[in-house]
Amino acid sequence: MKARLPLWLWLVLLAAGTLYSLTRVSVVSDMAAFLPRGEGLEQALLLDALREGPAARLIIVALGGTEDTVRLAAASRALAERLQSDSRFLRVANGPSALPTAEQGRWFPYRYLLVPLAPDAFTADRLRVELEARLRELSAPLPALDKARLPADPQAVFRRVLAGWQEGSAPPLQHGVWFDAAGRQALLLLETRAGGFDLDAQAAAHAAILAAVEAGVSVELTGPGIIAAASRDIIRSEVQWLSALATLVLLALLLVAYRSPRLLLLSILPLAAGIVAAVTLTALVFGSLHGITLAFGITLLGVAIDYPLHLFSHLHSGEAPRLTLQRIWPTLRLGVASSAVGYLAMAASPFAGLAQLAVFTVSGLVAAALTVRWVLPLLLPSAPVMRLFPLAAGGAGRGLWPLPLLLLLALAYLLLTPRPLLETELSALSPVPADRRALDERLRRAVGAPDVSRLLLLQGRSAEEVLQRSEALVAPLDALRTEDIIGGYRLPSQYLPAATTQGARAAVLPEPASLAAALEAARQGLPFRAALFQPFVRDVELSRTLAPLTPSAVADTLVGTRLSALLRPHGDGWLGVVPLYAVQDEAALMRWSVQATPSVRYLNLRAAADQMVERFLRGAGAYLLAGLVLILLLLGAGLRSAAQLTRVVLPVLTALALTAALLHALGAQLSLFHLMAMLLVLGLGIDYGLFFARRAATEERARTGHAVTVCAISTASVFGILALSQIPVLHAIGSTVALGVTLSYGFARFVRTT
Amino acid sequence: MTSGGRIKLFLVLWALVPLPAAAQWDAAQLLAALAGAVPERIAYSETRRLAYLDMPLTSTGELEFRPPDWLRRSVQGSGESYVITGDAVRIEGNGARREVPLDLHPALRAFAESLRATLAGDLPRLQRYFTVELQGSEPAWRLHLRPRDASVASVIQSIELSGNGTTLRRIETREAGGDVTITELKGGA
Repeated sequence: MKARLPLWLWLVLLAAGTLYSLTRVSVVSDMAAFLPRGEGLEQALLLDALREGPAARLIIVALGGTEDTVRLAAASRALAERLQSDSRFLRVANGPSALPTAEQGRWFPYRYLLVPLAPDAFTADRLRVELEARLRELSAPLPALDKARLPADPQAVFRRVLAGWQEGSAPPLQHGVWFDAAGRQALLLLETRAGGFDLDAQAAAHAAILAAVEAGVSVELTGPGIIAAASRDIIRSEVQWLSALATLVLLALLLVAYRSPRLLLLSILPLAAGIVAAVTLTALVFGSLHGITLAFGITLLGVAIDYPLHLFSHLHSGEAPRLTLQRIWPTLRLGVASSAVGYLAMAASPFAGLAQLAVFTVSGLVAAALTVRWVLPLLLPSAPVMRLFPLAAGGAGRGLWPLPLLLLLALAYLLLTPRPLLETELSALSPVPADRRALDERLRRAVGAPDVSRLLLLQGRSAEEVLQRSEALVAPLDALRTEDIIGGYRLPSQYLPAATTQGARAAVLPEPASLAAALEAARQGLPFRAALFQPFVRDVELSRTLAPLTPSAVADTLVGTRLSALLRPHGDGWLGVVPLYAVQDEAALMRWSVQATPSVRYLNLRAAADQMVERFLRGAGAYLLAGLVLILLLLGAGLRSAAQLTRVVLPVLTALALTAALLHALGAQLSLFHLMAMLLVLGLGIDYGLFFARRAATEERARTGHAVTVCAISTASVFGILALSQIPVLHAIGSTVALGVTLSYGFARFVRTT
Repeated sequence: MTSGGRIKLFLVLWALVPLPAAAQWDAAQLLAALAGAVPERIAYSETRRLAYLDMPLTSTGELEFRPPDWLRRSVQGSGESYVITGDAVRIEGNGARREVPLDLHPALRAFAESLRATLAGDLPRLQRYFTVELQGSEPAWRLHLRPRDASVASVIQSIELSGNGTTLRRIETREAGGDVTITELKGGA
């Protein structure tokens, strides 16, 4: 009974962990949460933009499938109307008719506060010019569209308000709605309420759009959130069939190697226990578990499938499994410890993702090893029938000498290659299939979607202060545009002027009596009815005492939501975001921004994102190296022999360098995924080296050969299957591990001791 | 009525087009006859009675039409001319020149087609924007156009073209707000 105690304890822990994992652990899929815990303003803004920014919430819809453009235009209008009543969408636009009538009605009374007027705007002479212009418009042989506003707004001030809110560039129109340049597809621009990385909400928005499109019209969609959600689905389905195939192959291999269904079942236990422990502990430490941690972590835990195999291969009749285990335990323990120590270095990383991954992997590996040590021997048959077949070839290895040469060659290639070694584009992290990228690029070009990656940042203690600074930027930005340094800009104050500015405009509006007199003088000789412009005089008088609009007062309007994308609270203060269009001369822009008044910061989001990934990769690389040093120290202490250490470590290091060089030579740029895969290879390779380096009798050596061979073949084939995937992530991980493991095994076997 | 309902109504009307078309054999015939006899240049005089003004605005000028869709309207005196071509109207005058896309607002498009499609004898194009009703007889006919689209109707109430035989004589445009424009056409120049 006492001997069975570990088994019961293990069962209780496993059950508790499983229960906790299934009920309490929330898996986060927010990409930004995996990236560094940024302190700086730029990082915060960058992550914010990635997560919530308007660019991340954009969806472009293209309707096609018929030559009949009238029908497409009608379909576009019908779709827009349906989606406008759907609360999932903040903004639905399919043409220039920007503001709903009701919202125009809300802004109209504030027209004299919203745009600047010339100082002489209310003099008789100037009014006369305006009235003559309106008369010309009335006599033009075209319908006057805003005729209804003439009595209250003879200067057409509100037209200027609306024009100021128009987006810079817009696609060409046909039948009143946006079309692509070729005139084949009707285009709509949508903005979702949910952030771009809220994948479930994005998928729901996607479904809502598809459901709202009428039959017989084909629809194409793109947008960061749509792509992310679709990629997730593609990955899910591909992972499903790939892992099903890999599992089958693995089971077949193990069945051939051990010819025992019982061993087959038992071989899965350590990995399963490791995953449960890893999920539970990571969630306990970090509060939640990131989806990427889960995916990578389980990949890295793949090494744990080898632990029971070492035990199985070394079993022989006439020896209790417990004794067999005791024989190989020191070697196994050293392998587990060295892997764990390598990952442990990452736990100290400031990169949230790496730290989580480290905790996940270490706890999983230790749990798997403990399962092999304390639980498996109790469940194994006392005298299993083991037949060693040719896989287990004994015999001596050859010398170490070719390995340093290969290592040097590979390192020389990696250091000297002119092509960039690392993939630092953030977009490469998101596994988007090539045809989706092409669609995205085509539709973005078609709508002329603003490139919101280049920004100026304005800071202030209050929203009002930011708006004031934004207004002060108009002159310098206009100067930059005249010098062709930038093509255009959008300021928060273009949506809503500062309250002080609005107040100053109200203060200089004329008194009713003098306005009426000027108006009467201006009207002389023109056919306008005498009392026609009474609403004008009344509105100007009301505007004199109108309280200025504030961002919070207009928050529920469309213009207000556009403003809130450019003006938001940040820490104790407020932040203004100024998107720049068509930046021609970035260097000049940066020179200007350093000494600009009011003070601004220039930010290139794309470059910043790429830098962040690069820092992440370099950080991961540094921790990988630190981990490697720890591994070497631990192995050195465990093996107590420099020659043995070299024998264990040199094959896997050579294999890693050669794998990196080969992958790069074949056209890959090393990404985060390759790096993760190489971590796994390191763990596996050290195990191979340790087992091959054991000093033992011939028969025992044959068993060790069998164990390592089964491990290597199963790992290489499982990851070889993963390499078949079209998805860059899976292909990268699969090819790296398959190649790395094959080379590691080959080299380790090549140099094993006699 | 909700805008969704409006669109549905629009689609229903659209689907019903073939039915009145059978009854409007006369309208089709009239338009075909008009198109065959349209002179290259037509002098016109126009009177606008606007609610905002004490007195009507009058102007004279010339219409110039090249089938199927090029239409110039030169206003005498002001030196301005309006050229509707393809999907835009080009406003020229006093050295300045600007172009307004017809699709900036559905009313602009409908207004342009009311004359352009009529002169081209293109009944289907006309019916895309208006319900077309023919009254009177061949010596004195009236072609009554009502906008199909509600946003057009908020600007243009109706347009009535009238004439005798194969000649278009008069266009009466009623805008929302009670404004009326009467354009008298004076045959070939």
